[in-house]
Amino acid sequence: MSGSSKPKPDCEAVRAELPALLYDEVTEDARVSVEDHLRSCETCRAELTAHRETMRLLDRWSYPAHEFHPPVPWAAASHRSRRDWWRPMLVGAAAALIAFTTLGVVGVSARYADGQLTVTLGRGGQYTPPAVTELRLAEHIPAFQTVARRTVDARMGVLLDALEADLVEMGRNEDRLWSLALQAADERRNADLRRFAVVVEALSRQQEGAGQRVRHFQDDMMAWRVSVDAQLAETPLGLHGKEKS
Amino acid sequence: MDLTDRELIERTRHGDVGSFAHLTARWQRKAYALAYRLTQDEEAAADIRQTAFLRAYERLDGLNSRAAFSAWLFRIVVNLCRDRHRSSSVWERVSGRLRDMRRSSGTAGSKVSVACEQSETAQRVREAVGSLPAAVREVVVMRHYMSFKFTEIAEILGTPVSTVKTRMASGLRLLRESLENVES
Repeated sequence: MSGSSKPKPDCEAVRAELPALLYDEVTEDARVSVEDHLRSCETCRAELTAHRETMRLLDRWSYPAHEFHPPVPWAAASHRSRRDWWRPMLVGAAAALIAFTTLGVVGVSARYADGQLTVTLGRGGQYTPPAVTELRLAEHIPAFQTVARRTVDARMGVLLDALEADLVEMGRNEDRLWSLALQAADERRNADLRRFAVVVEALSRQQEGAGQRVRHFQDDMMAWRVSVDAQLAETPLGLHGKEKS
Repeated sequence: MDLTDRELIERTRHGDVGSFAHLTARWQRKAYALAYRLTQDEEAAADIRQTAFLRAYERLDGLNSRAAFSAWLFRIVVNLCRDRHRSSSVWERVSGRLRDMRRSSGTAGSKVSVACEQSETAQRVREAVGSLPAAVREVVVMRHYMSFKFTEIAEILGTPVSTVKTRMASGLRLLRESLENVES
């Protein structure tokens, strides 16, 4: 900047408009006014020239945008047929059985009443879909009921190992769970389940593989067991007696 | 026929997640590009984009019916970038830079990246942009690299247009100082 001429009173206003002029975002009136000022103000002209040179330098940092766009799950899904498009979400629903407590962002609690396990999602966590409140998973997916029963067994100190084995098996047998979820969603068209599945699938991709998910799930199931125990302790279901026998 | 953002949002609100998939496909590139320019970290940008769409999905009911989805989404992206900037330690930033360097030195996926950024000038510009104050950097990136208009930037950032223009002018001045000895 030369600094050779003293800025005129409206120099500040003109300089504030220089970026708009450079990016061609001034009204015609403003352009005339600014250009009129520039003709008589060497300092502002120098500023404009310097801005232009800086912008040319900025152009030197380009980057290949097309190289950096791994698709997010929804986008990938949108290019499939309707049936295929469903699949990743249903996969997500099944994966939820294994992964949802490992995500660390979806609060989970369980309630077993009237022969039905109800999983409640959300403790106000930021990733909790607002539309999803309760998913009666056990109603749809027998495997979940089995786990619930094993959980009760574990409380009685009988089948803790079996519970863990079941969970491991769930991890190994994701295909079967997916098909169960597929069937459940097809039958019920549960909108909440679908919306939940989308979120879970996206989140589950942030996890590092099924093995880790299963391990975490085991840990979380133990915590969940305590929650179920508390519910069972308060609600006489008859389930204890059956399992004992 | 392509549905508008507003129509896709309405369908999503009624449980049609496929509509949200279309919205995502429509805006994901720009969301990623914005996050990348602001963070200068590919992995962080991918995470931020993912998180931004999740957050948008969860909070869709809170979107004012007259507000533009894109501006709302980009505001989420900018806020996530700010959060990351605030929370990341110096070590994380250094290690992120090292990771980028390592990646660009060998892997096939970044060949173009190497070609684009191998020049010293490009590197200097990238560093200069990265060293701008966050509020100024956001404006410079959105105007110069993302081609948002000043009015759009004002809407995304929730600030007056005049403030956006002032920040842009400040950004150009600061960049000029940082790049004083670099030939254009």
